[in-house]
Amino acid sequence: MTKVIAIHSFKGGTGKTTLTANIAATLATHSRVGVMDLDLSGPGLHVIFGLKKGEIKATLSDIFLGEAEPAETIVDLSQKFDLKKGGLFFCPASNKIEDMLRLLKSGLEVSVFKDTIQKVGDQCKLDYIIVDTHPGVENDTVLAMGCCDALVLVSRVDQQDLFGTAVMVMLAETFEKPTFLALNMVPPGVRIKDAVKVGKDLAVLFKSHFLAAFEFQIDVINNLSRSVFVLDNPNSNFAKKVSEAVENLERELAGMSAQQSSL
Amino acid sequence: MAGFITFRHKTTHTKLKIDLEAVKSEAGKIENQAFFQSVKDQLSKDKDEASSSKSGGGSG
Repeated sequence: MTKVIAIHSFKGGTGKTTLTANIAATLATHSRVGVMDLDLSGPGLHVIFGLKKGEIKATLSDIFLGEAEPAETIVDLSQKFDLKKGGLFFCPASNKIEDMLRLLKSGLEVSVFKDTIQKVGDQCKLDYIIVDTHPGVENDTVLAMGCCDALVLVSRVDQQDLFGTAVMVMLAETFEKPTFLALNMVPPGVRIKDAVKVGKDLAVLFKSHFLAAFEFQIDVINNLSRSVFVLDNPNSNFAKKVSEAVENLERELAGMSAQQSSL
Repeated sequence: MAGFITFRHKTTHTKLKIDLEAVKSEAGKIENQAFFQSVKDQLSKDKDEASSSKSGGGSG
């Protein structure tokens, strides 16, 4: 069964979309992974994945507007990224302003999104679907939170960010969804082991799980969203960190599934 | 009620204060919004339907 992981941040500028692309690509080296860009009012994943206009036949926005079927939105990136053992399948959002405005009027339906997850998961035989959402608490965020199996919350070590992250954990609890806390862009002045300790303390305080702490990486910033950093730089410190986070996430999710099936 | 997290800077100690009552209040406001409620209702309806079809499975 396909596991759905939503990746979210309360504030913008946390590196959520970059982290989403890199986590998805790392998972896709050994698993079949779908990525959905549910940041319907500010999509960005298509840029990181280097999609050209002609490669996108339909978008998730078209599905919500009733103008496309889920299968039409899938872009298979496995060959492009040379993923021999796994696979990466991307469902983009529309970056046209008129579609964003039309979506605001038409609204988002739970049944439509659940159906999309089901159909894309079945068609591509996916192990995971990663959903990127819009920062803050928008309708697409609530929709992703409600329909996912687990929520990764990306935050900086920042008082505003952490407050919002705590709110998100509480909302996720309402939907009975487990949450994982990822601290991103840890400033150079903070030692990583101290950031890890902060993350673990916060996870206890918020009743969440600590996933990882990523140092501020100038190389990733300098990449300017032109490609998936971990695929171009598999031996980089950032790639190793993402790999550790992915292993941690897979282990925790497998443990949760085992616990559920034993009940 | 507040949770305090201390983190050590290379040169200083900084205390982050997270007001848990304010967190609860903010989350409560969002939970009361119409879209949040509609998603919650729809998911709980789906869950009920899935469990009733499971318990009556194979009869059709």
